[in-house]
Amino acid sequence: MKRTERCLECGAAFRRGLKATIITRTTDGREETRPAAAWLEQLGPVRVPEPGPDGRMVGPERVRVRSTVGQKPFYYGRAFLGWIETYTPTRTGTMDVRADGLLFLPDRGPVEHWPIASITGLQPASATVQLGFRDHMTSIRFLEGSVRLWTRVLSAVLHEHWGRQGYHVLELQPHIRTCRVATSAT
Amino acid sequence: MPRRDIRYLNGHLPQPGRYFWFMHRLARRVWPWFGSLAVEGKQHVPLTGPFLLISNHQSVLDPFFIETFIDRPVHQMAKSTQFASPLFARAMRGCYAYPVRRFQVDPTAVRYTLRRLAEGDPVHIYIEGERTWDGTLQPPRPGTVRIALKAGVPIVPCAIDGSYDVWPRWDRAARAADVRVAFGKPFLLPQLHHRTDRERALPHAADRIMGAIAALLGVPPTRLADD
Repeated sequence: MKRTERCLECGAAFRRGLKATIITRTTDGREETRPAAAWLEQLGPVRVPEPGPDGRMVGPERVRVRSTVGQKPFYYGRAFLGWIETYTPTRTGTMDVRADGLLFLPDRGPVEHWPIASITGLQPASATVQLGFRDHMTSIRFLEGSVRLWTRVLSAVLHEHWGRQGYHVLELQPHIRTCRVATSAT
Repeated sequence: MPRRDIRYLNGHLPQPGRYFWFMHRLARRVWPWFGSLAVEGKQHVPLTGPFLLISNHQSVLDPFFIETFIDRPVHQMAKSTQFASPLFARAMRGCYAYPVRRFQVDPTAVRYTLRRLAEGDPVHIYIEGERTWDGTLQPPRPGTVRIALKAGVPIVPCAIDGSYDVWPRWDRAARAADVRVAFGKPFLLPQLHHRTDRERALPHAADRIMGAIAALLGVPPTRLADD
């Protein structure tokens, strides 16, 4: 959270207070302080936007993207601790979420479309969303956008995609796990 | 013989040196300037032998707050992406953290965990798998419970409370607050060698672990979740 941020919908300013509280100041000057969990409860679940005429649900947001290209062994002394990923150079651009996938417009290079069907896992971090694909992982860092909103929208899109094929999503991380939806005999 | 071929390494970790002990004592020495750091149940932490320390996860500072009260190196599982920066990677391995890859089952991380336990070392895993967004206890990750059912070592439940107020994951800076770390009484889960047995025992084991952590926090426990 930056020092003071502003809600795009109602214009209220909010900033962190003592401990993990959030202080909001509405446009008519009212100020209120509550713990983050209390605000979350009041705000309710994140609303998944309907796709617009161009199919866009969220975005465009400025992002920094990098993908894994492989992995290398990691040691401490003579002890092998495990494997860590190696990455492509970071690319900046804009990204939006559509019902059929993500569209990434890098500042340099061709437009990339990442179909929803190619996503094998979804994991949010504090400022990034990490997407698993069959042969690599991509980390998307939001320069301004909300990780929670993007996670919620991507989660909804993934649930809908698998639901259309007759599966219920059990978990999205570390990879998408589904089970068949029982169909009733008629 | 290639020098760095993993098949030929004898696998001995460096002994803890000045860097480790400096980081280990940092929280107890520095945090009292900003807030209290209280510990309960330290007598429950075994002084020797292996154990699996399973705790909730509120803040990026949790390893410092928790492990400062355990007077020997604790091996901590951390997501592999945290090792992307070479400087950060060296800093973390100096505190005996080791990587686990996400988006795939990582048998290397599981084997390393079991090996550390077999060699008599404690291992620390956050059962929620990631930091809480809103300060509440999150559902447990099944993978951690499966390791606990495979390992056959004492489970030491641990609760950390207050570190969310220090540095919630949605903010970029830490603030002063009081932190409490509570260790619970160790217990044993059955050691199950067959996958089907572990899957059958998973819900009950998860409830036992989360129940212990929740009791230390004074909150209702959470259960394995459907996403």
